[in-house]
Amino acid sequence: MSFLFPAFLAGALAVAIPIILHFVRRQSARPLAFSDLRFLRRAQTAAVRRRRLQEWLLLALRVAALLLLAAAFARPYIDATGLAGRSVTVVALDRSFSMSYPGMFERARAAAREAVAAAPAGDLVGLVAFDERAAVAAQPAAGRDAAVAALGRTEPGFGATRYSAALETAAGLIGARDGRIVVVTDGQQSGWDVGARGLLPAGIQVTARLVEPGAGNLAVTAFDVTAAGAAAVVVNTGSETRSGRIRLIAGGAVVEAEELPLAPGPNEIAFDAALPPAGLLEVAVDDPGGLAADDRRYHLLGAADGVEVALVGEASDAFYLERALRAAAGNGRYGVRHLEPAAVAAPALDGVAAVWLLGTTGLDRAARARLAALVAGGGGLLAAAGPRFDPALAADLLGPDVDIAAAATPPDGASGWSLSDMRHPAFRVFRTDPGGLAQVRFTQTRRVELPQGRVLALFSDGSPALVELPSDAGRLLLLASDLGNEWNDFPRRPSFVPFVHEATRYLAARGEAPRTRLVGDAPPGVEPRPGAAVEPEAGRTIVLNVDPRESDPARLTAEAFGARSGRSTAAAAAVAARDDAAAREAAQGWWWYAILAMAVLLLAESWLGRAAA
Amino acid sequence: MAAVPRPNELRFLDPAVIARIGSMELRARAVVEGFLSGLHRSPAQGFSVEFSEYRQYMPGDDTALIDWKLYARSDRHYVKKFEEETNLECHLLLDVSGSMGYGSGGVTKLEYGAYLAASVAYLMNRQRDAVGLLAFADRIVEHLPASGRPGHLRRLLLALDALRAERGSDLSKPLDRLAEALSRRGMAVLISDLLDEPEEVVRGLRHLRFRGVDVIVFHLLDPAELTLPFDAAARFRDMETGAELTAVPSAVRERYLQEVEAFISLYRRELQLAGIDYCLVDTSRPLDQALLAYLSARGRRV
Repeated sequence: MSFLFPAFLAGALAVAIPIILHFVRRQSARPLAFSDLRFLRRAQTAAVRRRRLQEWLLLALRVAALLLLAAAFARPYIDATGLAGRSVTVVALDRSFSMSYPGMFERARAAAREAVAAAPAGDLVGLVAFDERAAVAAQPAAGRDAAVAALGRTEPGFGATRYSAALETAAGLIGARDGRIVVVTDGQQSGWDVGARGLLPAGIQVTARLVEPGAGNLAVTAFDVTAAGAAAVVVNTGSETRSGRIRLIAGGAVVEAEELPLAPGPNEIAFDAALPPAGLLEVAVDDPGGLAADDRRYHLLGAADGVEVALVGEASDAFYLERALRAAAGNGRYGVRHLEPAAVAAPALDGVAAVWLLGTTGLDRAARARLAALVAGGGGLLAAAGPRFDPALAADLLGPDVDIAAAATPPDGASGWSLSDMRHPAFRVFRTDPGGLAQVRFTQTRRVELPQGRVLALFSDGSPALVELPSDAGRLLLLASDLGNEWNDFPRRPSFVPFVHEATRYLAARGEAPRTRLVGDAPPGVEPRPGAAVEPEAGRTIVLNVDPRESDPARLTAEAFGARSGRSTAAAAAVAARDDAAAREAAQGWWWYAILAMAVLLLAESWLGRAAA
Repeated sequence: MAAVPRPNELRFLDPAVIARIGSMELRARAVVEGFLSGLHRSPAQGFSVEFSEYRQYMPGDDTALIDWKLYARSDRHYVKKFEEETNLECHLLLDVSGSMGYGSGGVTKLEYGAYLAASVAYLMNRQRDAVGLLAFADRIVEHLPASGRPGHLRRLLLALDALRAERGSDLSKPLDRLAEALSRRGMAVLISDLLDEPEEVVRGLRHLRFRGVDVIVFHLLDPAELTLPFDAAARFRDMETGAELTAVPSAVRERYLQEVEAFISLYRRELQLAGIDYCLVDTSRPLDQALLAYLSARGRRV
């Protein structure tokens, strides 16, 4: 047993008080002359044993009550291993699908076994298996058998690499102790979240054992269906052109197949076959020597419904946005309506699923209430805080806690922005190439401060560029600049249209999760593997695809990996310490029992004290 | 037959009141006069050289007391009554051991015993009996042979006034010595708390009784000894040996009272079997109870 706050054990010294009182009280009995002690002595002989027993019992009860009180304040917890205080080595084994080249995972297991065997003799050894999520495969233990046995049970899955999940879980196992994390991985560069903070306390060392990946791979990284037909992107990660057989499969039947030369890099492939109106569509490429998981990609036909989008703002603010949406609307995906702020009324917003709020000039209270009701009803709203955006008026919509600077300021230093959460659905298309967004240049931005919310993109100076605000039913995004080509050149960049489409798709989802998801976003009850599945709760069919980032051949060296993971800040250490304390807090509910036992002892003491009086 | 003092005279018998009176002689006088004035009739009528009165014969009267000369003159049966006067020799045995120095209510057992002894001596002196004093602890501290001469009472009262509690306690030896020293039958009044070995005390008293001495025992006990009224834990110190014992009275009271009751019962039973009068005296109570017991015993003796 250990204690969360052992300093409180010093309170146990208070047991000296009843002990001293016990003896002082015995010594301080007043002297009394008496004629003869013979009768007292005889009576005392009979009573003294019972009395002495009662007194010692009372003393024991009081001492025990004080000890329990001190123990309760010290917050005892039971260390299941009984090995608290020893340093820990955690081996984190990458089980993402990029580890599934033929024979590669066996090599990874062997490297992990070596890491387990190489752990210092006194260390506890644990095992974490990770892809996008990390799971404890073997709790830290003095013996190595549990970790080795867990290694044998670990198999590669279909998830993508996410190192921060592995490091957080491993750091949680180590807690406040000293320790080492050995990451056995292929060094997938995309496994580091952009802008991810170091989460490791200073007492933890991180080393990487890199496993050499396979030579080449063909991966289907994108698959979409437009009115013109189906199209896919097949990436050849090798250095030479190779041929690959591409098949389009609808409802389990191959509707189109062709052997194509695939140059190094991405290859866009358009299919000519007529497609059924609904059902599962699949594109596959034969790749016997590469990764199997990214050889297929799925699409659910008939799942996308046309949605109505409203652009609220002056015409100049909505110009580029409207054209970007019309480009998709030509495919029958969006119905776009432009509304002047003064014209926002109930009939004008009927059927609207998503609103782009580009200015607030003329937006009266009723209109703001209408927009808020739309969000509360499950709709989506993206507010672009451009030149005609009044933060005070927007407080009704965005919540009182969001602090938006009234005046625009040029960004400090570099004027670009970058994604901080690439896994967000609004940036789905940028996962493989986030560089497109980096070309955008901002000349004016607004400072945004918010106590809670999810920062999706950061300006180069570290201030929030795009944030998602909490909303019970709908979706609420805030861009700290405009979309009208005044404060930035985003509308004239190639990344603008896909961003607008993905963001609109996200905003219009009406609280529903998309029907095409990544394996890592599989809902509860659905096996995380590519293909079609039925959501247990909603009862609707969805498709899961592997994360295309995982097919990225870019790898880190062990040194580069260590440099990335070695970042440790005081804040991160505090976070880890807090997590450790929280874990221990969860593990120790024993102080309640101590208080309860103390209460019982005090009741017994009270009863015995009265009986002995 | 004896009558009890009226309540307004009780104050003269209260040991606390008596203790405030200056000398032992005055104390004895106050007690006895107060006691006697409270009696409706003399409790000790019988043989005497001084004629008291005639009374008509009643069935049950001793026929030897009938005045036959008066019968011859009046043809009626009268019995003669005399103020009692005997040549009784009485020895006051006063325990002055350490335990007699105990008193919880302002009057120690020794003081109470001294008042009682003085009162008895004063009464005997009025009756013209010879009275002596033997004060003892583990040895004889004071011994005044019995005498009925004038001035003897004063000496005896002065001796009583000067007595102080001693350390040790041994009742049997003085009793034996007295039994051996007595040359004629008499009466012995033992005033003691009897806190000694009961077997030895009873044996000594039996010895006296064997020598033809009528014995009356006044067993003095302080009310605190009878009830153990203390609340808080205390270190009890033995007044004779100095030994100490820490006890919580509430815890031992019940058993203590049982022990005291057994102790009293033992004396009461054994002394009754030996033909010895036993009178338990609570030193917080007035002296009349003890005096009445003495007069009753003396009446039987005469």
